This record gives sequence, C-alpha cells and structure tokens, in this order.
Amino acid sequence: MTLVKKEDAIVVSEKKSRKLAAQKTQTFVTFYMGEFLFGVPAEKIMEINKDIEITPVPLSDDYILGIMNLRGQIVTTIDLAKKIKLNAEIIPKVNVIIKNEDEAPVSFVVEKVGEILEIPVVKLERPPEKIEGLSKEYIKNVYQLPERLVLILDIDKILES
Amino acid sequence: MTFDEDILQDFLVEAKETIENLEEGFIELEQDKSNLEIIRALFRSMHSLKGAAGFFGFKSLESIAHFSEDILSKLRDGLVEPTEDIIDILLKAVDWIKYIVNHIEQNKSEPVEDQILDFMVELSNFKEKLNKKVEGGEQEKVQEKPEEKKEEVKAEEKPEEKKEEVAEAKEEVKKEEPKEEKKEVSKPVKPAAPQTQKKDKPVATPTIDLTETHIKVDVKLLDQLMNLAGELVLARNRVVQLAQKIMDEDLTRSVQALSMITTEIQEAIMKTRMQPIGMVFNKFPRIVRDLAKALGKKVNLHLEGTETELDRSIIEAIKDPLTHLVRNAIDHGIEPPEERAQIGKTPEGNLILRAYQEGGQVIIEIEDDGRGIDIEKIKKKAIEKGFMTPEEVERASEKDLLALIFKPGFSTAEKVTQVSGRGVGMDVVKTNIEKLGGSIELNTIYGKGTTVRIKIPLTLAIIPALIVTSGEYRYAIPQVNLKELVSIEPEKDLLKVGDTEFYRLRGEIIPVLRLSQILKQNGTKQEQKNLVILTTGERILGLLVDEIFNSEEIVVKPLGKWFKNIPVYSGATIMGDGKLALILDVVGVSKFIGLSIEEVDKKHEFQDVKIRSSREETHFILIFTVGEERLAIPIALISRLDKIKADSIQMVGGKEVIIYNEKVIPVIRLENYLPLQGLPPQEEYNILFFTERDKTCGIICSEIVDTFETTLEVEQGLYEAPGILGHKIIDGKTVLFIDVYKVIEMYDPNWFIVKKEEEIGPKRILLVEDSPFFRNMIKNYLESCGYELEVAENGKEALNILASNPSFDVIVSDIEMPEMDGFELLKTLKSDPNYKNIPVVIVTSLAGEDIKRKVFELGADGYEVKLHRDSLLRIIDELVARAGS
Repeated sequence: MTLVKKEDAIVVSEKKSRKLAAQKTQTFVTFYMGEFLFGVPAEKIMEINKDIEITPVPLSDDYILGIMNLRGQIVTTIDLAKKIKLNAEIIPKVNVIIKNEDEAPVSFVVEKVGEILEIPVVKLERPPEKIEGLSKEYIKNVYQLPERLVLILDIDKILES
Repeated sequence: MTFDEDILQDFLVEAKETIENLEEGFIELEQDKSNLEIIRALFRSMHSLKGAAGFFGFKSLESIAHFSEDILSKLRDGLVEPTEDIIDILLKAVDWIKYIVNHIEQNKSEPVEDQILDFMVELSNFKEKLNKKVEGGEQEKVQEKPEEKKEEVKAEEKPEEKKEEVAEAKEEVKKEEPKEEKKEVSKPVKPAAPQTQKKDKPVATPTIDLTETHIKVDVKLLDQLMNLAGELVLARNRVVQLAQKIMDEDLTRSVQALSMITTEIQEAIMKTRMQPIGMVFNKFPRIVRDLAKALGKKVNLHLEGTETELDRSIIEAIKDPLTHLVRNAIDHGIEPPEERAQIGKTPEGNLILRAYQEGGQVIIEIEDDGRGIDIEKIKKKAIEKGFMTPEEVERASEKDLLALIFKPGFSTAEKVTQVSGRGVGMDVVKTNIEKLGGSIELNTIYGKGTTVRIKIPLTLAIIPALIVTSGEYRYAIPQVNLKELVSIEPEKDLLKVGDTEFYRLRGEIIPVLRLSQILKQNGTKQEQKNLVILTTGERILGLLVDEIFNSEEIVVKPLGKWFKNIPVYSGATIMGDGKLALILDVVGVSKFIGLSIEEVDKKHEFQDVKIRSSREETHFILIFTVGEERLAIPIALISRLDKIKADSIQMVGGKEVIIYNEKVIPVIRLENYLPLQGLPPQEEYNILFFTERDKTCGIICSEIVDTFETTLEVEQGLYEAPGILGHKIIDGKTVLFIDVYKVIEMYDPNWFIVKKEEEIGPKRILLVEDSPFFRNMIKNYLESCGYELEVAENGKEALNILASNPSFDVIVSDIEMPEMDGFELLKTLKSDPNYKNIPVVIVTSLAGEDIKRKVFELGADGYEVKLHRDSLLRIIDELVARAGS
C-alpha cells in the first residue's frame, strides 16, 4: 500500500485553510491510467491491494475481468479503463476496492495508485464539454492541479450495472 | 419489584419450555387418556411454573397455574376422568399463560386486563364444579373405591413421589414448596443450572425423559462461526503450503494435526446449522387440533420423518407455507365426520405430514384422505374468473387445471372461510417455496384425498457438488443435477448430426454439450473424454468436460449483479486452496441444447432466450434425404450413422448387403417400399443403422440434413401409404415421417418375429394415444407381434370403449392427452372394480424418475418410454403371461 504520500495538494489546502478555516474539503485517492489522473472519494474506498488472483467469468461483459476472493468475500473486478472507454493501452495491476452499498464490494483494477488529495469542495468544477480519449459520462467533476487535471469519477454511475 | 435481568431471562426461557411441554402433553393426553405418566409430567410442569411465578410475584400467572395444577391433581389421583372439556379448559389456561409470559418478556411486568380476571373466574368456577362433582361422587358411590385406586397408584410410584403427593395434599406444606423452587430459579442459571434441573426431574418419574441436552445459541453467532471456519480453512491452507517449502518434520506433523482439526471444526460447524424438521412439525398437533375443533371436524395427525434434517434458514422459511397447506387440508380437504361416515370413511380424517430425504433434496408431503379436489369446480371457476375460455377448459389436462390453484386470485373454496381465506393464497405458498429453490406439486383423487409434495434443497448455503474443469479453471456442478459419469471416445461414441451431438446412453439418445464451447473457451486443445450426465429434472443431457475431480461440499456465494444475465452460473464458491470456482446452473446450461455454433453466439446476447416447455413432448428427429425428398425419423430409433462408398454395397443372394464392423448388414432402399422418386447414384451414401435384439439392418439415404427438436404432431391424409406416418412442414419444406418398423417388416416380414409359444386366441390391447404418429407406430408394431388392437385418442374415449366391452388383456396409455390425460385415466381405472384388474402400461416420451414414481404410485403395472419398442413389447408379453397363468 502506497497511500501515505500527502504532498503538494495538502500544502495547497493548508495555505487556504489559514484564510478559510471553516472551508469544507474532501479527501480523494488518485490513480493513474495512461496519461490520465483520476480521483475517487476516499470514503468510498475499502482498501487497495495487489496480487490477488482473478478468476475469469466466461461470457461476461468485456470490461469485467472476473471475480476474486477477498477474505471469503466474492468481489467482482472491473477493468476500469475498459468500463469508462479509456482510449489507451493499460495493463491493469492494482485493485482499488470500492464499497458497494448493500452488496459485495467491487474492485476497480487500475494501473498505478497516486497521491491522496485534500480538495476544497468549492474547487470541484464541472467537467468540460469534451474530454479527449474517454467517455465523459462517468466523470462527475474535475479539479485543476498546477500541472494537470484530476478527473473525479462518478462511482454510482459506474456501478449502475 | 425489580429483578436481576439475568434471572428474569432464565425464568422466561424456562417458562417457554414449560409451555411447550404442556401443550405437547395435553395433546398426547387426548390420544391416550389413561396415561398417568403424562398427567404426572403435566402436573409437575404446572407446579414448577406456579412456584416460579410466585417467586417473581406474578400473581395472575401464579393463580392460573395454581388452579390448573389443582385440576391436574384430581386427574392424577384418578378422581375425575380427563374429559374433553377438562382438557379444553386446561389448554385455554396454557394459552393465557403463554400470553402473560409473552407480555412479561416485552414489558417485564404482568398485563392487567379484565379478560385475564374473567378467565381466572371461569377457571376457578370450573375447579369448584369439579370439586363438587368429586365430593358428590365420593358420597354417592362406593367410598372405598377412590382410596383403592390411590393405593394402586402409589404402589406403582417410587417412594420419592410420595413426598410431592403429601406436599400437594396439605396446604401448609405446599406453602413451603415455592421456597424450594426459589432456590432453583434464583441460582445464577449459567452452565450449572441445566444440570441441577436434570437432577431434579428424574426424582419424580424416571420413565419420561424431560432432560435437556440442548442449549440455545444465538443464530448470528452460528453464522459468524461458519464464516470464521471458512477463513480458518484458508489460513490453514496457506500454512500447509509454507510447511511444504520448509520441510521440517516436526512442523509437518503439527501442520497435519492442524489440518485435520480444521476440517473437523468446519464439518461440525456446518452441522450446527442443520435442524430436524420436527422443529416445525411439532407445532402442528396443536394447530390441527384447534382448527379441527373450530371447524367441527375430527382429524388424526400423523407425523413421519420428523428427524429429517434441514438447514436452519429453510426450516424458518417453510413454516408459513406448511401451515397454510395444513389449514387448507383440514378446511377444504377433510370432510365433517357425518359426511365421512355417509361415504364409508372413518369419522376421523387422516392428515399425514411426511418428510424424507431424496438425493440432495428434502421432500415434504402433506397428505389427507379428504374429499380431494373437484376438477369440475376448478373448470367452472377458471371460466368465471376469466383464467380460461370454455374451449380452453375443455382441452386442458388435469395437470393444467390443477396448476391454476397456484395462480394469484384463484381460490376454490366456495365461501371464504375464516381459516383458509385470508388473502394469502396458494400462489404465495408457491412463490415462497420457489424462492427457496424448491418446487411444489399437487396430486388429487376426487373423493379420495389430496397430496401436496414439496421439494426443497437440504441447505441453501452448503451443497454437495462435483468439481470439473474446462480450460484451466474449475467449475462446480450441483450434485442434485448429476446422474452419472461416463468416459467416452468422442470420435467414436458421439453421434454428430447437423450441429448437435448425441450420446446413446443405454438406448436413450441424449444431446451432448461441450462446456468449453458454451463458455467460448476456444483455447482448450485437450480432447474432452469425460461426459457428465446431467438432469434438469425435466430433461437429460450430457456435458463434456476436460477433467473430473472429486465431489465436495461447497459454500454457495452469490455473484454480483454484473452476472445476472448469464444463465449458466448460479453462483461461485471458494475452494479449499482459496481459489474460486463458478457454480454451473444446469437449467441454464441446458438452454444451449440443439443450437448451432452461430446460434450459440447469438444466444450469448441473451435477447430471446426461449425456454422450451417441457409440457410438450418434444423429440429430436433426424431429417435426411432420399434423392430430393425429405424424410424424418426420431433419432432415438437409430443406433448408428455412417457413410459408405457406393462400391462397398454388394449383391448377395438377391439382397443388397454391406460389410460393416465385420458383420454382414442388409441394406434397405426406401423407394422399394415407399412412394418415392428413388435414390440417384452417388459415390458415397449415408447409412442409418437400426438394431433390435441382435439384428442390424441399414437404410440407404443420400444426405443427412439436420436434427430438429420438435413435437411429433404430424398431419395425415395427404401421403397415405403403409410405412408413412404423416407429414410436417419444417423450414418451408415438406418432410415425410416414416415408420421404420413397418418398412423393415415390408422388407422382411420375419425380421421381428420371435417364435412365440402357442397362444389361446389373440390377446387384445387397448391403446390410448393422442398423437397420430405414435398411435400408428405403436399400433403397427403391436399388431405385427400378433396382438389385436383397439385405439382411443384420449382417456374419455378409452373409458367409453371399455364401457361397451371391457375384455382387454392390457391397456397401453400415453400421459399427455387432451380431455382426460393418462394419470387421470389410470386413477379412474384403478379405482373402478370392473377395470382394476386389467394391467395398465403407461408409455411416455418424458423419461423421468418423478413421472415414473407417480405412475407407479397411481397403480400402473408397467412404464416405458414410447420409442423403446423392444422393452415395451417385453413388458406387455410379461403382463399377458402373468394374467394367463
């Protein structure tokens, strides 16, 4: 687990917090796929792990990698890149396991986990009209870092079968 | 008054047990009124309840228990007989006790209600009346008699019993009693408590064993244990793997021990979920009794197989459906005593609740000997309520009509009674049973009774399954669906026709699917030789897999919603090594039968998955050509298919033969016997082989077109010729259905003749069959064996024929027929003294254990699959011979 790098983003928010101590922030876990940086609200994530054997389920949709055994629970693993129609060659490696209300958890398999960001809620923007290289419908918000854009995923939409 | 919470809890647990004992006891007493042991046990239960209630200061409870105890003491001492009214009021007392205990549990105090007071007055008056009666009796009747009796009783008893009796007789001593009880109750009833009780009880009477060997455990705790056991297994497996790497002798030994213990723990914990069905059944004596009383009926309840074990969650879930069915049986099924007496039945109706295990399933039957279900009434209702049109009703089979009972909004009770009509119908019962993965079936004989049969899985969570592989992954097949395993040589043993492959299993042709093909695992190179024969309950199929492993108990886990639309899986399971295996849904798999590869591809889109109705008798037929003409025969009649070179056909002794597998096989050209254009010369011909007993012949044809699953409803009239059964349009082309037996007979009249012993006159058979195809085919082959045939198209027609001339030696009947089906005909025949001695053979195309069982249950003398000409003939021969001897 490589989740403990809280760097520049937090510095950003610390600067702000001096001025607006009461300003609301939300924690996001980020991960990379190809050239893109994605964010998922931390409270939606159960855990992150690697090297769990995935059993394929023949006949399932192509974005389903299969199922895996997470300490006795059957977890459906989703190739996130395929699901959100990301136009890039990705080798899915890391399981980002998402809590799924009333149901068994689901794993988004991604390329590489990034940092944890503390983002002021007011800084979350609507996604632009068009995002080159992926399907916009699964992006809920965007957040502008100095060098790149963080795409905040709409988990509910993705889990909507 | 305040109590220690724990002590109150213990009191409640004990009180509830006491109530259950009381209820059971009273019902038993009613059956066996002279049983002193029961009365004593009841007295003791009531007595301790009274004591405990007094300790806690629950006045009403104490009073009710006190009065009841008083009455019971009179019964015990033989002063009064346990008449119905006495048992009645005592049961009412138990009901009030139950009510009060329930109130205490919820509110920690007794209810203050006028009704309770009213009942106490009633009970007290009843007791006084009884007292007077006893006193009066004592004065009037011989004074010595009661004493004599008492002495007799005492003589039987153990000395300790006297103590209690003395205590009961004298008021002063009795006041001390509760103190004793106090000790018992106020002891911190933790582990030691049940033992003290155990000690106390045998003192009274050793003959009735009321000791508790069970403790109550929260079900959540059991579920948690179950999950932990699963985890333990996985952890164990990891340790085992590590130990193998390290190769230390001591370590290996301790790991082995750990391994065994883990397995045992897992098994033991799984067992804790199993409970005897008696848990539910035992509630019924009371329900049945009350209900019978309320409805003015007399019912004897018989419980069978109460020890049959089922998963806890299922036990819970079947309680309501069962109650509903039992209510129905008493309310609608069993007649009032007078009515029963009139029709020569015993005044008491019989209701049997029976449970037994069969395969991986538990069967529960609710059987009554009441009036049965009036099909005419159902018909009327079906039309009235718009479930069917009058025409449909006339055409519908009994099975279809009975199925209506399970439809929402359909109830046959003439008036909605308090008991059965509560808006909850049989449809709810059916839905609930199906939710458990079970099924429900209803059999009835009008005037004789009804049997409802419920089949449910043993457990929802753990099922035995066969582990197989396809590609590099494992799959689990539920044992319920498994029939047998066969090792085959696919090239040799499988009959490939068109796109479908078949396997001949002891004469029966079954379709074969390849698991790798269904799962679209194109990579599998290994030749699949393992054929798993499966049944969906309605049809049999073969599944070719790579490897077969052991049978294992697997824990079923549901798959996520992403897989809901894939019909071939019913869940997943975690194997001993921590890896996952998908559980195959055999019904889902069977939907791939008869589909070509392209269709399989299409089927994967799951758009229009059509489920073939099992109701219709469908058969696989083989379509082939002779020249331009298309012909068909049921594939089950063919023993082999092969191609031969034209020049290998030889002319020997005026007959065309081929040499096949070192045997001389005569070949038949259909055009010589049927009005066909003829076979144009080809380099290579297809041969259909027919084998009967040890004789084989072949029919030459140009090409095999395909197989087709269809009903054998053929049209007649247009192509009227011996050897042709009729025609049917398939894929826009006319296909002639041929009667192979007739053709072979035309080729060689002696082919089928087996020398028979001298017979005295020809034997007569009544053949009842609606399908012209089978009617003609069976008629032909029976006639060619020397039987005299008469045919009827349905049950009603058969009865008409029998009415004018019942002199038949055997009746052969189909099952699925309009107007009156085979089951109904069979029932009618076997319950009519004029016909019941005529042997009946039921023929079917639905080969299934269920049907077979039902057929024999209804009294059939034989059962055979229609296309098994040879066996059917043998059965008929035997029956005729038996009747003659």
